[in-house]
Amino acid sequence: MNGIIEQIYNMFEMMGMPAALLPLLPFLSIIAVLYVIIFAVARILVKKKIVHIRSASFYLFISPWIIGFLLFTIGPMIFSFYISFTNWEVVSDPKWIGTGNYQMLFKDTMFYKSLAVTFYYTLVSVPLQVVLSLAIALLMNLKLKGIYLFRTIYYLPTLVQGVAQMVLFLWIFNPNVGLVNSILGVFGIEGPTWFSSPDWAMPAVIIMSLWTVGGNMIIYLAGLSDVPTSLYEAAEIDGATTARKVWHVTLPQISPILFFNGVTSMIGAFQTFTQGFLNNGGPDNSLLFYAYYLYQNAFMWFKMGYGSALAWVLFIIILLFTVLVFRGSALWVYYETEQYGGKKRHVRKKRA
Amino acid sequence: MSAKKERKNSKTAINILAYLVLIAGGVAFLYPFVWMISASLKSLEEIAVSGMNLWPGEWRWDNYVKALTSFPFGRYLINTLLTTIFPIIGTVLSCSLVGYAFARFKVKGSGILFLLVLSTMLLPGEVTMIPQFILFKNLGMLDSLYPLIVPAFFGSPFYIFLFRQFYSRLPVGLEEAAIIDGCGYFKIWRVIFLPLSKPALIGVGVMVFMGSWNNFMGPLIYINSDKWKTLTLGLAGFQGTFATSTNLLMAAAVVITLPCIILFFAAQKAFMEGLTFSGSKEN
Amino acid sequence: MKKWLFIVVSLLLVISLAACGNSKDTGSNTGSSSAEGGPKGKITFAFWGAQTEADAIKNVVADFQKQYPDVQVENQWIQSDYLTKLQMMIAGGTAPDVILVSGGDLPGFANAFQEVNPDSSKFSSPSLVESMTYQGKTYAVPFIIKPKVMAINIDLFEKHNIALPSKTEPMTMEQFDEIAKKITEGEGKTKIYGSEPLWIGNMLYSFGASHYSPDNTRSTIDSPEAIQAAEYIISTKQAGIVPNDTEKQGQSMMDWYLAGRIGMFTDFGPWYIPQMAEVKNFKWDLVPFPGNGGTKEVDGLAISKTSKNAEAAKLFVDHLTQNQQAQDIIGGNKTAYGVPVLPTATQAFEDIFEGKNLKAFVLASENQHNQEAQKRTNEISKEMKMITDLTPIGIGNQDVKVIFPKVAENINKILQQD
Repeated sequence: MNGIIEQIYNMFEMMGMPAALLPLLPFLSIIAVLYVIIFAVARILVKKKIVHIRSASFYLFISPWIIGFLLFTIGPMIFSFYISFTNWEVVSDPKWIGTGNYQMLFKDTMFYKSLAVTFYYTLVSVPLQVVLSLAIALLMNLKLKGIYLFRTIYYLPTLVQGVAQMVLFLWIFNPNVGLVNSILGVFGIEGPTWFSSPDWAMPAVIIMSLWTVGGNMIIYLAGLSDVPTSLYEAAEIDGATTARKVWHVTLPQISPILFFNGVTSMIGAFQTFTQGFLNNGGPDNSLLFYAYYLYQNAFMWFKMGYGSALAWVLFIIILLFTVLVFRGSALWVYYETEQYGGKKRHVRKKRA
Repeated sequence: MSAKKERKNSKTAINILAYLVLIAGGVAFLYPFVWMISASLKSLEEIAVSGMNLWPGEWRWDNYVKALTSFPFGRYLINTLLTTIFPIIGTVLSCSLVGYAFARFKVKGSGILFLLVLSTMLLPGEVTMIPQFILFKNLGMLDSLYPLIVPAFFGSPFYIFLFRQFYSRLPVGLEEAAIIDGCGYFKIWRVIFLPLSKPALIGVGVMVFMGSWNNFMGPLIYINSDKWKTLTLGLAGFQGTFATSTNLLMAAAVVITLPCIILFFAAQKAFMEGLTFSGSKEN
Repeated sequence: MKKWLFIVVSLLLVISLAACGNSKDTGSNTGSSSAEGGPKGKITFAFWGAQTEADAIKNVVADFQKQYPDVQVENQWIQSDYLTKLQMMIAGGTAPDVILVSGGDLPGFANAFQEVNPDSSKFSSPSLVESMTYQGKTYAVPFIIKPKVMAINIDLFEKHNIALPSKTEPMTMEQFDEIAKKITEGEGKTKIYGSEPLWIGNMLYSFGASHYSPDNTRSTIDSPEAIQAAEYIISTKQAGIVPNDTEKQGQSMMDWYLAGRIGMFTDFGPWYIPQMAEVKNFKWDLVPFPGNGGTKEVDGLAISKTSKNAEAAKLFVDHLTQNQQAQDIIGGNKTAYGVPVLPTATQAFEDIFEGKNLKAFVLASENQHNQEAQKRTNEISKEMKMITDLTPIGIGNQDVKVIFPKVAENINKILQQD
């Protein structure tokens, strides 16, 4: 425990606070004091007209995140950045080795292998997930009888806890008695050996990921239920078919949500870990996901420094892709608040 | 008249098609859970020989008794509830607030700050595990539920992003009238935006629930003593390094999944409410 | 603004209430002070294991508490990812005082442990303390042994008129092969196999090979004996006397044995014994590992370097590892946690299952090869994975004579890192 925290802790302990609350109270006191200061400073700044009330409100609104960022994120990030320049076995003290880890990385064949595996998974599974979950959400948004039940069923696989989920899917993909090959057998196709084949382990994981599109579906549903009905009615008066309504009303309206799902699915896919971990990298390293390789180095091989370097390289890669996607998004994402700018750009592109 | 009829006919056709697709997909999505229930009622030997046969030869209901009595279920359940309810409250409050600010305030620096929010999502969690552990040690929170609760009150980038996307879809003029009426920004958020984002609130609530309810790494790292352990850790107890009691594991997993199913089923009604609400407002 | 404040305050109230409701048993149990002058205070004790194994350990700890009420032991049962969590606690400066560690993991963590000097003669075999030793220094005291034996399905033996194997002498690999072929019969989903797929890690020793040279500096996986072991494993697959790769995928071979589909289960550790209580549809027994192969895992208790109460920790470790009653409790536990390290306590283990040859475990705990350990064991296992990826032992089709020397070369590179 930190010195100051410990003093506050002891103070509360002497006051006879319940033991279960004690770990929280010092932290809470510090946050409370912090907020008193923030409010006071903000008030003074606004009164003296140094800062506009609009800006002051903005910063007050996002202050929980700023505090959380400074406290829970920036410290650990700096720490891991520092560690990436050291040789740290965790059980002994870190040794500074400069850019050694980053240099080693470029000579590491497994690094390239894990990158290839991760890209394969991301590029195939993310578009599939986004399209499938949107299609399901559109179906689920129809006002059919018993739709509650269907929604629950489609969300079910997402609800199953990770440990049980993997055991379950190993059965489903069992080449002899599993569901997938049994269905293929009905059509006279002899199914592959899935998780024991270097070529088919990844497709199995990708199909698995489609079973859990329920999470994305929820977000789409929330977005779809927000589309003003008046827009559909207007389209109907114009005699639009269902397909045209989806294309011209629904899609533009939920494009911010579509964009959100695309970006977060991509980030999530780049960080895929469990499927690699539970299959121990898969046959012939076919499931050596980047995040799993990182974990292997950091926690299994006593190479925390190298693991941290790997993490920062992944960070840069995801950042590049995210920026790219954001750049591209201006062409098709439709925001109410930026309506005019967005449309203009759209029109311009069409003319070109 | 005939045009209307035609439209009605095409609507029923679409509905029938929709049902067919839904049922076919539904079987695929339901199967894993049915398999879980089936395995939870069999003996280990039967699981090994039954293949595709889902119907247990001998119904072993005592698997459930064994699974739930082998660890302090009640205690773990309370801990799980605590580490689920508070993160929901914390996340919904903090993220809608922050997301609102990012969506509706075009203030100098807000763009860069938002990128910063997103960038925190990009670093894989595996490497920040140790420094975060050291942080919570310094805060004196190790071996308590607080490391699993407190961060939620400071927003998480995923949900901040989500709320921002929701709020930025709402019409531009929404707050203008309120500003003219002299409402503060905080009141605008609370009175206008928060109620309008009900579907998003419920959606986020459901997702945080599932995430916290099934959280495994968090409790594993921060909790040492049995009295603060959660259900997922109880579940892991069935999986030995070599010998896994698949039937008991599945029995416990079914029990742990049930509340999620019920909650999800119930939350949907509120979902639909949100739909009619925003719909009628437009009319 | 007032309403906001109201929300915050009420929230805090709810938190505190919920937390209070949960805090009833937080008060530390102050034991009555009986012994004078002995070590006092609190120590933490970390261990891994499934639910049943954890319960067994908690029993021994409870027994220690009864005898030494001045020392409070806080159990830290770590359900999974033991090594990861251990590293976190060490890095965070909150390492447990006493740590359960397997001989295989010990070299990697040795730096975090205190050196100890257990009396080797007290234990059933000198190999036990050896297993807790890394580069000439001992870092833990042996606590429990988990050897490998072979479980047989007696009904299948009798059905084919095969004489039952000796209970004390390991059968030869030729005998094993012959029996396995006799037992194998049938087709498809009801086929009965002679054995479960054999594991190279066990078979090496059956053929007189090992992982490393005696001084642990070089891989010997390229030795003729190792290649012979590999070729035998491939031959069992080709002969169809073990389930093939697609058949075993995602399946527990133990469950197949329990269902009567496997005649001889070679990779049988003590952790499977509790499940055997449920076997009703066939007679079973335990015999030594064929060819005297397999390895035993020795688990020891280490004291953390940063322990603030090393005296109490030492008392605790000595009690658990050398006290007759403690060893009787852990060894005689119904869950068959493992074979006790005290020779006088092994009877408790043998008595767990009336009429079954648990003596095979006890013999193996003395004679079986120690698990070979390296600081880089986990990294080396990545190279060992090449064997199953590239040769017919697993899913590959390349010649073992080509691949094994390559693997040995890669392992040697890893060994030279330090």
